[in-house]
Amino acid sequence: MEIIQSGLKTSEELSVMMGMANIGFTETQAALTGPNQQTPSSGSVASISGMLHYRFKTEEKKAWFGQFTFPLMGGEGTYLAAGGGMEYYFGNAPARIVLKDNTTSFTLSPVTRYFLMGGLNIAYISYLTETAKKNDTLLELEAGGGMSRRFSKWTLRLQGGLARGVGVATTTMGMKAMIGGIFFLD
Amino acid sequence: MNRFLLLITLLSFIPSTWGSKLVIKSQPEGAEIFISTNGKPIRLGMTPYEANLTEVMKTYVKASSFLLEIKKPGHNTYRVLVAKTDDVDLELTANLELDKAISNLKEHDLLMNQLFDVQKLVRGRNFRDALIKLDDLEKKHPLLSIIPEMKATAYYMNKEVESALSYYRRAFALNPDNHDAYRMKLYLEKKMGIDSEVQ
Repeated sequence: MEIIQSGLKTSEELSVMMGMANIGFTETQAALTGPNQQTPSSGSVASISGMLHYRFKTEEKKAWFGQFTFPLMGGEGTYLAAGGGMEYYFGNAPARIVLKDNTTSFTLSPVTRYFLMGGLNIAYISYLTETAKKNDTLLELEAGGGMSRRFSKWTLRLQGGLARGVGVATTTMGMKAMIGGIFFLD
Repeated sequence: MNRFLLLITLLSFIPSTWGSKLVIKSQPEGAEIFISTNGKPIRLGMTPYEANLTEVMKTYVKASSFLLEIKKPGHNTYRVLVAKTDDVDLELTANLELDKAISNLKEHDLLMNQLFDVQKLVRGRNFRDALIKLDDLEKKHPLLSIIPEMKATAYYMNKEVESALSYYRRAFALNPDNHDAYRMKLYLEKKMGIDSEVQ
């Protein structure tokens, strides 16, 4: 919880989402070794993924977050990513604001929010080529956006993004789209 | 990705007023709610109250902020100034404080009940518990002479005359109009052969 004015606090948020992560990879020539693999292979890893997103600090319209993407269903490959970054919210109500003291309980909850986000991830990808199952660790730059929408009993969060990754043996280009709910931690 | 963008677009078209609520509650319930911007306060309703915030803003709020007042007889008026805002749900719960006069009466009523309890203990010759209760009361009400006077009585009935005299003196010092404490002070001083003028 961050104090932005005497007594007023912005809520931290934990979002639990699921969706799709589709990561296209291309092996780099320089990293290939051995007699059976002289041609770089390329392909994609697509999986139904889950995401935990934790928004922990709000500064005016900006908020810091950490997030973790993990596979929910096994496919031909695996994609995992963990990282953090910043979100920028449009509109006047970027966060839920709460004031609680002996005489007052005051809550302002935004109904609809739109945001852009950017972040940096450490990712792990395992993929199949024609001859072998391989894996790589990536540094990934992610950019995207989304929205949240408050309903009577719960709050929806939708987000999507593109991620460009560079690893030891591969470069990747990924797309993620997630949908889920927000828990306000106040 | 196209489906994702389509979903966002569809959600955006849901009217923003759909989820924009104003919820006002109070403790105790049944308080009147007034809203005012620059002019006269206008009665919104009674707590618990729920309305469409956007409609309330459109109807009543002409400035950039508005004042909400919650009033209930016997309680202090609760006021909160809120910036005009839209596309948010506003939930307010006010714990209304009792009016000073009423809260004082309640406090005195409670004190009297506690003193009656102490009196019962003293009559039952349970001096230890009586003095413990009086110690607590003395911390809360250090300026009341009745408490040291009752302590003195408890000590006196327990034949602790010196302590009794000390507390009668304190009671008299706190309230020179406390005649009972004064009489007992004189009586004990005489009994113990102490010159009250010196003391």
